[in-house]
Amino acid sequence: MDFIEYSVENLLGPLNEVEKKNAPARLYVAGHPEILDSGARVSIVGSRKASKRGLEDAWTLSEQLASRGVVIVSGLAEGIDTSAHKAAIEAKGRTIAVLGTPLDEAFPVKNRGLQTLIMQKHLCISQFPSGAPSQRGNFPMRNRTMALISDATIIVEAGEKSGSLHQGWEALRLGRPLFLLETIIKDSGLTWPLEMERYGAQVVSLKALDLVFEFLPERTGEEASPFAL
Amino acid sequence: MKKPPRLLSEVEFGTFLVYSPRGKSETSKKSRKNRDNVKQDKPGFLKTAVDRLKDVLSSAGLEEFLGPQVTLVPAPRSAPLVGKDALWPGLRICEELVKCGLGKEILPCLSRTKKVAKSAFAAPGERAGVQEHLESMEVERLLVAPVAITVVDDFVTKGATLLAAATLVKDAFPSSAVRVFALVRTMGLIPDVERTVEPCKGRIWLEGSEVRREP
Repeated sequence: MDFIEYSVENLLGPLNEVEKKNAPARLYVAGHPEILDSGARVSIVGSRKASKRGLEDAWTLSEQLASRGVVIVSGLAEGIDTSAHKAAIEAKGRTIAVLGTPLDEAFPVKNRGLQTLIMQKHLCISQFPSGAPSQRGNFPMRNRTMALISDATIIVEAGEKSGSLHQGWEALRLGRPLFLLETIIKDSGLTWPLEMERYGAQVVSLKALDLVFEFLPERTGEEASPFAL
Repeated sequence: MKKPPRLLSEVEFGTFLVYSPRGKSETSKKSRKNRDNVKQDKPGFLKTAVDRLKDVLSSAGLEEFLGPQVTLVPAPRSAPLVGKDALWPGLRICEELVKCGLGKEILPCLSRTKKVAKSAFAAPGERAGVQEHLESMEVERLLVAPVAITVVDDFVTKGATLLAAATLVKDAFPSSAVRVFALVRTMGLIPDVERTVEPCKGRIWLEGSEVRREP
């Protein structure tokens, strides 16, 4: 499998100063980079140890968004991420996996087949070059990169220490829409959803996904120059 | 907690671009691309817009709103900022205006202490009222009052954010002339826009508890 190395701005376009702060210098890509410009990019993320309801919600959400032209971004982890990728593929949509490992490694190993499929038919991105050591900080870094790649982020289910919270805070910092699935708010044991809501996160229901579209940019593949008003 | 000041009955406002939330024409689609570029602070876009604005400032009658004599106050976002390095579109517009000579200095004295619903996306009945905006912001006072202040925001929908912001600024600096400016005016009540650049000045005023904007 061929991997292509890009500078972050070559792949994603020019970044503003806020975006540059946590952006990686380089990105390694396998698959079809044109997917990046084929529709609005929405991350669907959440717990590795997800509940049955969480997995179903992630599936429904991904399926509905993908069938309306949204590119589904997730982290290829167990649980919510896997459900989001698989539902997008099943819906004949497009998906991007943003890895916390180099492209030639798979984590979890049981997702190797899914990773290969995404590399062949969709798009896999990593900020870690081949041979880079696995470190504890890689996954939070990956989550911030995923926020950068995505026009919006939806957290389906996440505990107090979930890595998805790094992505949520980064999305808010970048000024990108952050949505929390309403079931999270109903889980009264959690403190982070109320804190994120205070800083601008929106609660969304699976029955009212039009709200998400109100916040998405119109990405058509024919990007107008920022120099023409 | 300090009681919020009495709302201003009216404030002069200036604006430059227009955008159509749902129009189907090519111009409406272009206007939404401009909206996205402003929201995402797409590199190069704000500079381009401000350069164009400078060219038409005089013919649009906006010289009192923006210029080397005016102190610019960025309007706060609809929720508190996550940190000092978070994106603040109002501040970014002010920075470009000052670089271009359309502002004397930036005074980031307004902040949001409590989230309100985003106007551009809220259904009419769910938009935050002007009183809610007023009670969700605070202003930092200074000993020396600028002569002329313009509160700068990225978008104006009905004008509740700007009227509330102007009220707080006027309360903090009673001797200053206070105006408001929004880079983009939302045109939600007409199907399509005919052009994306439409500089003009007008007024935002209070009618009962409702905020009105003209144009």
